[in-house]
Amino acid sequence: MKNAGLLAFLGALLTISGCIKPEAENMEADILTMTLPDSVLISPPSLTNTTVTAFVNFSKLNIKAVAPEFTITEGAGIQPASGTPQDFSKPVTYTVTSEDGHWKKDYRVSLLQNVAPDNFMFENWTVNPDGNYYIPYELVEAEHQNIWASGNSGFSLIAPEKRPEAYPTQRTTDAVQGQYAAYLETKSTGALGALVGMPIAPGNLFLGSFDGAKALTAPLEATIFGIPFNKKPLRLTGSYKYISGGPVTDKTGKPVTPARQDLCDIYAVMFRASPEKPFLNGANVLTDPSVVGIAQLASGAATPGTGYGTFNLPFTYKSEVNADDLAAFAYKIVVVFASSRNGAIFEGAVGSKLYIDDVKIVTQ
Amino acid sequence: MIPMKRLHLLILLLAFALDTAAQNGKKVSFTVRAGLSIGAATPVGIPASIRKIESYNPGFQPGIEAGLDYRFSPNFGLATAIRFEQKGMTTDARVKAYYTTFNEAGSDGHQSVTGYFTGRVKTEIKNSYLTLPLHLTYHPKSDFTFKAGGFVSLLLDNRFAGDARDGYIRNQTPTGEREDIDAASYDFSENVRRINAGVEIGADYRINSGLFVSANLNYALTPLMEPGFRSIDFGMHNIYLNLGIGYRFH
Repeated sequence: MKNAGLLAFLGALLTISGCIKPEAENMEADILTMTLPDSVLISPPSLTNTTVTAFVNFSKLNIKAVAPEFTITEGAGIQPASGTPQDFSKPVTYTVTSEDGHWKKDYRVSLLQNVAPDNFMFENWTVNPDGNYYIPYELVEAEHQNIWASGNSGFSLIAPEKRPEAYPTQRTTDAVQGQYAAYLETKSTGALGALVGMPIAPGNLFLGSFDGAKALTAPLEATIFGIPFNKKPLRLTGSYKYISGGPVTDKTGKPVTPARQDLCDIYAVMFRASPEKPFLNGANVLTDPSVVGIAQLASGAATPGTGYGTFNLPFTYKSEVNADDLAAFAYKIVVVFASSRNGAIFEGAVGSKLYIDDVKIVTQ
Repeated sequence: MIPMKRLHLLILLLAFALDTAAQNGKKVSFTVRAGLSIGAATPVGIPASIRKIESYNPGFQPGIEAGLDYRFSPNFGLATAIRFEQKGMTTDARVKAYYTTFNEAGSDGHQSVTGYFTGRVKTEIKNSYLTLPLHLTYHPKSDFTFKAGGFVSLLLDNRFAGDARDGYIRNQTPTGEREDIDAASYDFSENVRRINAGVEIGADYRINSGLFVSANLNYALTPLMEPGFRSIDFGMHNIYLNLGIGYRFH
């Protein structure tokens, strides 16, 4: 009887559940890589979920007819087609359609032919459609350069609120010059953030890109630092205002011992990029052997009064900068602002606020 | 609520059976039975997002019941019981673009990540029910008794939880922001339906005048999860085989 029952049971299970179905067609629609002839690129392209950005050597190509090649999710299609010449004097929108045909994603592909600026006024802001948060961009000769990044895309996943004003990194009208300044605030990530050992999200803003995929698993590596730079920096100057959120808590949300007040961080790093290590990240930006010079705010304590103060930080060089290599874009620079100095390892104080405006990299 | 109506109907029938039993003492017998269940909460047709079942463990799912049989003709009767039972399993599956929600506790939409997960998903289900079965019984001239009918279960204790590992989730849509996931947990225990009802068939085999062995196969027609539960985009139904041993008091 038991055997008969078992057979009946297995029969029923098979009838009801059936077998594993054939694999469904892919629903994803990603650009995985973009390639251009090596001589054209001065730095590997940076890819996010909806953008591809690369600095190119404009003397070596006709920007009105560049034919980048893309690899995309298996089975997906891309329009305009990979390898067809496009006019990149403005960003080109590519549409990737998933294998199953149901999902489409637009990418804004930018080839930047101008060197990044050396002064930053934080006047131009756009809202990222993926997570509904602000990000500043730079305009150089009318070229729209998406060279700033923040951890906002990581916050967008676990944050309870998705208004631009709820994010750690945003803009403010409390500015030293112009209409806007950058505003960074250390935020709580709520119950879900606490669960994954990331109870706070510091406001951060840096030159580079953010690899959202690594935000939860390897957050220090998610901040990809550096943009090509062909001048030797001497000082980093600017205006800032810092209000400390108070005693620092650790990644479990408990106060650290001995107790200390939260500090902000402002620094710039010049490093010699290599094909093996084209960028630095949150784990090695101050310590990697490729670093040649650092300018860093010494204390990071709260600024007195209610107005802005200034910083003027000289670069300290560990090794010589080769002028020929500099001209050939062998070096990169990163400027980093953070509302909690140890925010990258989730130590900080909720409510720490850093205002940044009128930043200049003074070069030789 | 329809299940409540059904429950009332069953209680009425049970009362009727007991009343009749009092009048015709000889036709009524009492049973006790203990058994183990093996089965699954499974979708009707495994969805394409499940690529491979890496492991399945039925676990230890005991059940005990006290029953009442009433024979209204030489070959036919009615049987009912009060049964305490556990239905559960643990599975580990490889999934591709599996729609789900990772949450802290419960599925409060504000504190969760919802999207399409590709990777491995472990699911642990352990639900306890107080069940009222009602069977039409057939007694051929042999040691077998065959039963067919239905059951209504009331959820006493609930667990539907697990974790996702070694993969990534696309936020909200398959083209949303990609996030790698080492390990993320979910807990949908609060979304398990209070009432579970379905059909049941079974057979008993008499070993001697008192002892018998039995097998019951039951399939829940009501979904495992509450209406409106969207954190897994396919419905699941309990299907369990219960094997047991019992004793009949004449």
